[in-house]
Order: sequence, then C-alpha cells, then structure tokens
Amino acid sequence: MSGPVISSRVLRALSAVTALCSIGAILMAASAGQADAPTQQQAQQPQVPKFRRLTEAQYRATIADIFGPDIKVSGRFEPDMRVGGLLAAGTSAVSLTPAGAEQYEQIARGIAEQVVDAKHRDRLVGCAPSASDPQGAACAADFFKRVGLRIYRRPLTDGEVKLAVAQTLAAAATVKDFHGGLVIMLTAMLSDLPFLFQTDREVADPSAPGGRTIDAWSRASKLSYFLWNSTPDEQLLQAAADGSLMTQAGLIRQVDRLMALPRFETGVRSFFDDFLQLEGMMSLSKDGIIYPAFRSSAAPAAREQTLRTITTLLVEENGDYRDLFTTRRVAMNRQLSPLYRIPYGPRDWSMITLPDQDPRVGLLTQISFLALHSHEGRSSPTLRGKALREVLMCEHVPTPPANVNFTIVQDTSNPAFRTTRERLKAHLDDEECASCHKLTDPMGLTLDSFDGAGQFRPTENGVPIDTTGMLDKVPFTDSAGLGKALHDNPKVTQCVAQSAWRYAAGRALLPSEEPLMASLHEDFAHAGFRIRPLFRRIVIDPQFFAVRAPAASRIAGKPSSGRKG
Amino acid sequence: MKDMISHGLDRRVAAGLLAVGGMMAVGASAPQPQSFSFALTNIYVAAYEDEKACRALSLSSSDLFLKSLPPAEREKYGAPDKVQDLHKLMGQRLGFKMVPTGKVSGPNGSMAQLSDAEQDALRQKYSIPKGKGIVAFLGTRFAYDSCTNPDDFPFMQKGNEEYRGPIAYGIDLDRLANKDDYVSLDQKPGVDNQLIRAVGCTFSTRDFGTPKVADEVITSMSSPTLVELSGVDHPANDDDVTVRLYASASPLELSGAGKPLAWASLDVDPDRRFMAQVKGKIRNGELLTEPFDLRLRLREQIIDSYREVRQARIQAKIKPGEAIEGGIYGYHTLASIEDNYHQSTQVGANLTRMSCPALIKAVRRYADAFPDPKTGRNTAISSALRFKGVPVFLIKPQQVAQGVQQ
Repeated sequence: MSGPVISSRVLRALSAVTALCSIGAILMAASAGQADAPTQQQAQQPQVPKFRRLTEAQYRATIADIFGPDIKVSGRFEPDMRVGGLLAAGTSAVSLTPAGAEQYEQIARGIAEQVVDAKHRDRLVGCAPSASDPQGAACAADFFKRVGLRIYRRPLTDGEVKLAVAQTLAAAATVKDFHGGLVIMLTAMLSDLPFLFQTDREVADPSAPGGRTIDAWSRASKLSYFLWNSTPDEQLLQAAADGSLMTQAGLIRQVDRLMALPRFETGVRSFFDDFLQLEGMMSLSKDGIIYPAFRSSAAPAAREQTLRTITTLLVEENGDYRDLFTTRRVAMNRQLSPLYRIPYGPRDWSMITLPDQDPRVGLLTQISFLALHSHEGRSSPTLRGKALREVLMCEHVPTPPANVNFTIVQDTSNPAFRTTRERLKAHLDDEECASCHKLTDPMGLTLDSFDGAGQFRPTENGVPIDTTGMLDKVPFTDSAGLGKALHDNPKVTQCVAQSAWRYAAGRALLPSEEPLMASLHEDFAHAGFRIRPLFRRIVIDPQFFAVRAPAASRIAGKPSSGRKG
Repeated sequence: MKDMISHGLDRRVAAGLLAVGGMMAVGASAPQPQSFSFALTNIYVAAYEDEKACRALSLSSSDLFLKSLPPAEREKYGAPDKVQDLHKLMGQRLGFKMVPTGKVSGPNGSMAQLSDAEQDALRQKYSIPKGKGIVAFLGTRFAYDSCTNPDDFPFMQKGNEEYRGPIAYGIDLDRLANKDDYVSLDQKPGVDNQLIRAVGCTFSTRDFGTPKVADEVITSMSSPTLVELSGVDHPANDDDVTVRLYASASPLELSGAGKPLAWASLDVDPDRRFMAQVKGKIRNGELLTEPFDLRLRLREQIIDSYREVRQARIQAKIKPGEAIEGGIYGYHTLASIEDNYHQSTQVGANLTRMSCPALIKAVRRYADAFPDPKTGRNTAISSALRFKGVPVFLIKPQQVAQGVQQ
C-alpha cells in the first residue's frame, strides 16, 4: 500500500468526534423536514422504523458502486439478524455494538487508504493541494461534496462540508500529509451512522395534504436498496435532488428505469437469497465419508444454481413464480453435475432441462434446498418439511421440546427401522412429537428419495423409499406431485408476496398491513404471479414510503400509477 | 442464459447414461443398449506380493555411483543422511545437467515444445554434449543424465535383480508354454509377463506396485485414461460390446473424501493418438476384449509421456455405476518404456531409487515380442498393467458443440 497509514489512536480520536457530529446531523435532518406536526389521528398510528442497517452484501455493493470494484472490502461485519425468516426484516431491529463499530471502522480505514493511495487517488480524489490551494481546503471540499453525496445518500449540508474540511486539514496537520487527512475523514464518514444505516427522513407528503411521507433522498435509497441491493446511482440521486421522486409520475419513471436495467436481477437475486435463507449454504458442510461427492465447492455452487435458476426464469424470462416448483429446467455447472449424476458439457453455467424420467422436479429437488435442510450425515424429512412450511409458506412450526429422545431417528443402521419413514413412525409414538411432525413429515418424506447431500437414492438400506405424501389434504406420490401441490397452493404465492413486502420495508409485517397484503397478492395473481409486477406494485404503493402504519380502517386499494405530484 | 438440451449431449446418449442409474435403482431391464464410462485413476505395473521373489532390491544409480568411489569417499557419502550430498556429487562428477529452458509448461500439464535450434542453443550454452540431453520437466528444463542418455553411463547398467517368483499378474498372451512363463494368481499357467521379470525387484515396484497400495494412488491426474463401453444390452452378460479408450482433456477431480470423484464430466481429448476401439464381451460382469493396439497417455507431475501396448487385451470386472477394476495385458513397447525413463530424469531416478541404465538394459534383454525386421531385436515386452476406475461421463467435442438454445 503506497497510501498514508494512519495510527489507530489518531484515527479513533478524530473519527469519534465526527461520528458524534454526524449522529447529531441525522437527528437534525430527521426533524428538519417536518413541515407540519402530525395530526392527532396520525400520532396514534404506530411509526415504522426509520433506520435499517446495511447488510454486508449491501455494504460491499455500495462501496463498489461509489469507488469501483477494485477497492477491496476486508474485515468481519456485525452479524445480521433474521426476523420472520428474513435478514432484511432484521435490519431495522439491529443496532451497532461497540465491537461492531470498531470492526466497521477497521473496514472503513482499509477502504479509505485504498481510495487515496497512489494507484487510485487521481481517479477517485481528483485533486491535491496546489499553489492556489496550498492546504488543500478547496480540494477537500470538492472531494467531500462529491463523495459525501454518495456515502450519505444525500447532499452534505454546508456545515457538514465545512466540518469535514476542517477535520481533514487538522488531521493532515497532525500526520503531516494531506492525503493522510483525507483518509482519516473518509474513514470517519464510512464508519458513521448515515452511511451504515438507511435512514427514512420524514416530511410532509406533497401529494397528500396533511399526510406524512419520507423525503426524496430517503426514497432514492429505499428504492435502490430494494430493487438493486445497492446505493442509488446518479440519475436516481438527481431525481431526488430535483424533487421529481416526490411525485408519482417521477417515481414511476425511476422505478421503471431501475427495473429495466440488468441490475434489477441483482435485486431479485438478493431477495431470493434472503427469502430462501441461502446464505446458510456458505457454512454448510457434509460428512466427506458419507457424501464424498459433496465437496467444499458444492455448497456455494448449489446456492448459485438456485439463484441463477430463479433469475433466469423469473427475471430474464418473466416466468410464473409457481412454475419454480414444477420446472425441469435448472442452472448447471460441472461442480454440481456429479451430485446430479448427469453429464454436462459446457465449461460454464448454463440452463439445462432434465430428462422426463429424472426424479428431480422444481426448486425443492435442487441441492440447495435438500442439503441445507438436512443433517451433516443424513437426510431429514422433518427439517425439509419445516423449511417448506416456514420458508415457502410463511407458516410457523413450533420448536421441539428440549427433552426429545432422537435416538431412533438418528440410528440409520438399525435393522428394525431401515428407512427414515420407519424410524420417524417409531419416533411418533409420542403424541406430543406427533402433533408437530404431522405438519412437516408428510411433505418431507416425499423428498427422502434424496439423501442428505441432495443426491437421488431410490432405496435406503436396500428398501425402496416410499415417497407418498400429502400437503394440506392434497395427496401425491413423488416430488413432482409435491411440486404440483405447492404450485397450486395459494399460501405459497401469498408467502412470497408478503415476504417481498417485508424485505422491501426492512421490517416485520404490521397487523394493520394485512389488507395491503391481500391487495398485493390479488395483484400478484392478476399479473400471472410474475416477480416484476410484484416488485413494481410494492414500490409504487404509498405505504412503501409511509412513516406510519396504515390506519386500521384503511381499505387497501391499488396505487394510482398516474397520480400527479 | 443459454439452455443446453440435456446437458449438451445427444438426448439419446444422455438418456442412456441416465438410465444406468435408474436401472440399477429399480431393477428394471433396460429397453435399449446402454453406455458405461470410467476414468482410470491409476495404471501401474502390478507386482505380486512374494517376499522370496527377489534376492535383493535392485541397485539404484546412486548405489552404483557410491560403489565406484574410493573407500574414503564411500565412507563419507555412504551414510543415509548423506544421500543428498551423494546425489550432488554424482551430478558433478558425471556431468549431469538440469538447466532452465525459459519456457513454461503447456496447458493442463502438457509438454512445452522446443525447436531443435533452441535445444542446440541450450546444449551449447550449458556445455551439454552435442546431440545429448532431452527436453524434460514438461519443457521447463533441459536435462542430461543417466536417464536421458543411459548408454553414456554403462557402469550403471549393473545391479538389476531379476524377479524370480513363480506367480505374477498377467495372462497367457502367446498360447505357448514357455519355461519363463509365470503362474497366475488363480494358478493358471502360461502367464507372459517379462516386464515384471525385468523391473519387479526395484524399490518402487516392490513398495508401490501392489494393488493394495497402488489402487489408492492416483496417477496421470491431469489427463487420466477414459474407458467407454457402449452397446451394452446387459451389464452382466453381453457378447458384443464396443470398448473405446481416450485420454481426458480434463483433470481428474477429488471427492470430499480425497478419492477420485465419481460422475464428473470429463472432456475427451481429440488427440487421435490416444484413441482406440475394440470389440469385447461381458461374461458374468467381466469385460474381455479382443487384442488391439493401444496408446495411453501418462501425464504425471514432471512427465508427459505415453504407454504403448501392442496386442493388448483388457480384462476387467465391471460394476456399473460403481467401479471398473482389471488389467491391460499385452506387449509393452520398449520405445514407450524408455521414454518414461528418459523423462523421469535423474531426479526421478533418485527419488524412486532406480537405475535407468540398468532397467533399460534389463527391459531390452527380456523383451520377447515384435522383433525389428532389420535388427532382429525384440521391440516389445510382455506385461501386465493393472487399473482401477470410477464412473464418469465423457464429453466429446462434438457433443459440447451440440448444445443449442431451447
């Protein structure tokens, strides 16, 4: 690294000061836009959370967008929290611990040092002290105005620019290096709350007299992080700056633009990654002796397979979400083809169609679902059934009591119970266990013809596997039938619509939002259960930018696509 | 994303391959001929475990060099911990060379090419005798030593021990009862395997040539040999199957357990020198081919060489969907054996404790087939190579190209 290296002590002392200032800035900004006090009725409605911490993926994408993909982001992030099945919904429930703040500061310092190093400073800083600007004050002001807009996702106030310049020059004097001063100030900004948290700043709603909404900059962030999983681009910031984003027409223009670009695929991909809890694949391991074909590369590849399949079918081809459960098409590469026991010619990923006689049909028979919801050395109809209920149908399955005896189910070599179905049947002699297993096992056992690594196995211990099952009174004989049952089950489409809303909002569903969910699902159905219309419907609903929960009496209606601002 | 019809393969072939697993799974009969493909994970000169078969281990080149030293030096370099110093001294005294060519190895562990002019320039620059030395270490080095030019070091031709055991791997290739025939492991007489007589007492053959050791070793990992059986009506008994052999253009991959990965898709190398086809039959799960000439690629670490076997017959137990295990029995050409030794260089000889001049002399001496019409000298030696393999899918160049958008 040829850039300036700042001592940790100096950095901490200075960044602590700026962080405090910025927190104050947030608070001021949050209240500065309040043109009118909320009405009494509004005040009685609960507020929705105003802050959402960036996820690790969002942080990384944001840095790449602001400074370029060659800037490395190194360090450990504060763990995200899953709420109601979604990490995104947990972003409004997490805070910043002191240890986490220190980690973010270290990451920020690494980024800042790269931004101003000799390799990048011409492109990213673009100026330096000169005869007409001996201390570099003008250069620093120019830099922080430009970069500050991208980092805070709103323009810096004059006071903030002055503060940034003053602190840069002070730090530069301390370390005797202008660029060293930039590193310190940039580190502070990248460690600061306005960067780490998406912030909804409340203002009067210009399109609804007496109403409240969030300001244009907050709208830009909310749109961008939902549709692209990254920070707003310059056009979106411009729409915020000129106010057009506060009008329904201007909003729709930007939404349609964002969704027309290839980056929309990243947004959909991020949603399904979260919705299907696929980040679990990155820490998934299997017993190498029992499942030798499940190599270390298999789990990341399986995650990628599912996401590629989804984005191809739902985004590129604008397909029906329900068809994910019945399709024989799947993304494939050579890392995964041994697990599927199929020949695969291309050197890279491509979509293939599995032959008609192949036992795999749909999302549930992909390695990611099967392996993720299994044990290290054996399959688990219960875990698979539980995931199916909870993840795909948004139902709740109670956790088992602490004193359950799993001996029978765990002993796969017991000659008396040679198949998982037999072992589970023996386990269910306990009525307390049976009540929950009835929710999960009838579907999970259908998938037991796939082992714990997701490989097809028609028999277990020499006994043919019985794959008959039932889902909400719909019987089937195999995984294709299970896929069809899911395809036809309205809970599945209701779940994905409701989850997309919670993902977009970054919070749990509010009780008063039930009518909105019904409306959302109705429109989703009318659109042929296609993801693009669903995402579009979410972001043009006024509730997406609301600062309070809808009134209990509100009857959800379709948002007007032609409302004038 | 472009779709590929059934994995980029012809649908019928793909369905047939997939039917293998399905058929095994449910025990249903196959409606049409099937194909089975395997990647061989090691092909080796098989040694029967017989402690009395060798009077002693054959001497290595460094053993022979040590014996040639005056007593004081022999004393100084004779200790086991001085072996590195001994190898260094041997290189210095005998004028061995190992010099960089300035090239990097070719793709997938192949040999980089050097023109004759480039080789001559290296000889001149590093004082290597005119016309001597070879391109080695996959083209990254130019070497001159007792393995590259064994005839220049005649004192190292001594000390090879003949394998004297009565039992050896192999089959009766010539249908003749000769006094130097062995008995097979299942007590069948007439086994022709003069290669084991020549090399069966070297350190590496004794220690690493037994199946219980060799079957756990993976060789030619960057380009394993691929075997394809097609036209199989029944995997246990079929009088008419076609066997094809290829070199792989893809490296063998390892499973999570560190073993060769089954069911990987491996590209067939279009190099026709490493392709062979022969008819065969399956009896009680054992494949038996007609005699055919074959050339197998041997690409391992520093070597990009080949094995050439004339009038070869494959006999192998086949467990569809699980493994293939058996032997290649035929006449190994001296040219291919000597190329292996040349490319191993003195570095390989020192590591495996062998003497290239002694082994090459022994192989020439015991060669028993295909006499040169001009010299009358035999150009091949009866042999038994063992192998083991895992099921894989073969991807042929035209099949990759067959992928079309749906």
